[in-house]
Amino acid sequence: MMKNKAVATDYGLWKLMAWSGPVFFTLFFFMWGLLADNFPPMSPNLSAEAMKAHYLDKSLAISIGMSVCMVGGAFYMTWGCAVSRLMRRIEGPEGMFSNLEMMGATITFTPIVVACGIWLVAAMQAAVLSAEIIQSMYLLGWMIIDIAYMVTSFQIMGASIVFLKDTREKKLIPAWISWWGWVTIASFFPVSLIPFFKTGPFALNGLFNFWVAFPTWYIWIVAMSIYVIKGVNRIEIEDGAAEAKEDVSNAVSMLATR
Amino acid sequence: MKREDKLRRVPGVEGIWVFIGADLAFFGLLFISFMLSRRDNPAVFAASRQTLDYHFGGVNTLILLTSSWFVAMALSAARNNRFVVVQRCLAAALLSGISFGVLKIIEYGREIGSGVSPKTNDFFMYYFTFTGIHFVHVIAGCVVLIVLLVNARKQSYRSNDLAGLEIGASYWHMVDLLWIIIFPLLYLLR
Amino acid sequence: MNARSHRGHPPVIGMVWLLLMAATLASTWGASDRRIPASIAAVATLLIAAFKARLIVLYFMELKTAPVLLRLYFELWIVVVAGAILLIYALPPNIG
Repeated sequence: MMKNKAVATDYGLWKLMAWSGPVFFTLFFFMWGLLADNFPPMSPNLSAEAMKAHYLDKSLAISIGMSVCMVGGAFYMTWGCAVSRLMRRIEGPEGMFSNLEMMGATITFTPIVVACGIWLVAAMQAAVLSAEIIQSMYLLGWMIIDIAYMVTSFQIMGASIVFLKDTREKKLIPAWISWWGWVTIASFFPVSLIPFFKTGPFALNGLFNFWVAFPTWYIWIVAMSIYVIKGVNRIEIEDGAAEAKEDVSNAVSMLATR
Repeated sequence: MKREDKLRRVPGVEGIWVFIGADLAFFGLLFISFMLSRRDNPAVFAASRQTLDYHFGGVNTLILLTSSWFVAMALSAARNNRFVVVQRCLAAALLSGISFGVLKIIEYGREIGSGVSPKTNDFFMYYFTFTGIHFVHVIAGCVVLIVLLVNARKQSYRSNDLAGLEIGASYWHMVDLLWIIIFPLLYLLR
Repeated sequence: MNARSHRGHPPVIGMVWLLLMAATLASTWGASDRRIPASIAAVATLLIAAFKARLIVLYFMELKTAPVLLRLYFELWIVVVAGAILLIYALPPNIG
């Protein structure tokens, strides 16, 4: 069978993009979490002076962490493209949810890059800015990165709906991950409470809105990444098998016409 | 082992139990955080709790339990392909769910009218967020019940095709289960 | 066969519902009586709540006949939540 190489699936590139998921979550864990000292995040209840002291103290580490995250956040977008393509194999080229997932992943990068940019400048300018400005910048970053959750919810929703519809006997993405996606979406809603609480479980550093909502999402990204990489491998094998079958039947029909 | 497998089964699909299990775990953490906060301010929590009217919470518990029972009856009827009973039970469950919501809104109205808000103190912060998040679960549950009812009218649920009904029922029982803990924790625990 | 015929059997869930209603009446309008000492009322209220939660899990959610691990998770949830609440309740107040 003559196959047009220009429209053939580039499995190598697809796998590379699938691997940008692990790049994203590893980078964020070390650069945003550990290096920039966000485990745990500063309490919104701290005084402006204490926040300024934090940024002065950690200026270099936060500057490096945030600037790396502004670059590395884009891997969420490339990963979203790989997920979207896997979804299209289930819902077909006309499906809307693969678009929703890709847009959701792409736009998720926006609040990340804006918030990290704000925190970067707070760290760079800690010596010359007033404490109240630093405090406002710290909170501004959090409000943007947190309350933009609905974009990511739409991304996860699209993926969960489509991967649950997968009719393969062994689904490309196991059902529990899709259901975990619903858990993640549910855990995001209380994040809307962060402007109203400086302490307690619903503060931005609180038990629920930080220690539950973020790890829930993180688990989804990690689990999804692993199975998307496996999924692309499986699609490659499925396509290969289908092609081989086609080749055999072509050969048979050619022999028959002789 | 073989015999065990035949008798034991997962209601609905496995995934709904991932969701319910995680939701309950989250609430478990919140309950513990409430208790720790209560331990820090016993006087404030006791005084604030006494301003709540536990008759509202108690009646709402009875309503939600009854609603759960109707859903369980609907499932049982569907197993015997008694389609009219399924519809009636689901409609009754939905009505109960809506009654819970109406009563809760009246209660909120009285409380806010008396001048309290989530900002009043830590007790009311927990009170409004717990009952608020639970209220969102109730609204979602009513939507689920409406979907079940619409499908039941089309006789979609039969003894050999019950997964959808079981998923919805399990979720609705979870909403009930959460209230079973939230109510005594906020209203009754002296 | 036995486990299966019990699942969602109307007389059984009817009984469960009656028990749940009775338990609610007892804890809401019984244990709240001022003559009952606070700590006894609190323990009773929580134990009744745990009992009700278990009834819902086993009979309404039908986990009584579910695979053991699934049932265990939800039974443990009740034990851990009720246990933690009781434990923290029993601790002396933390007024610092």
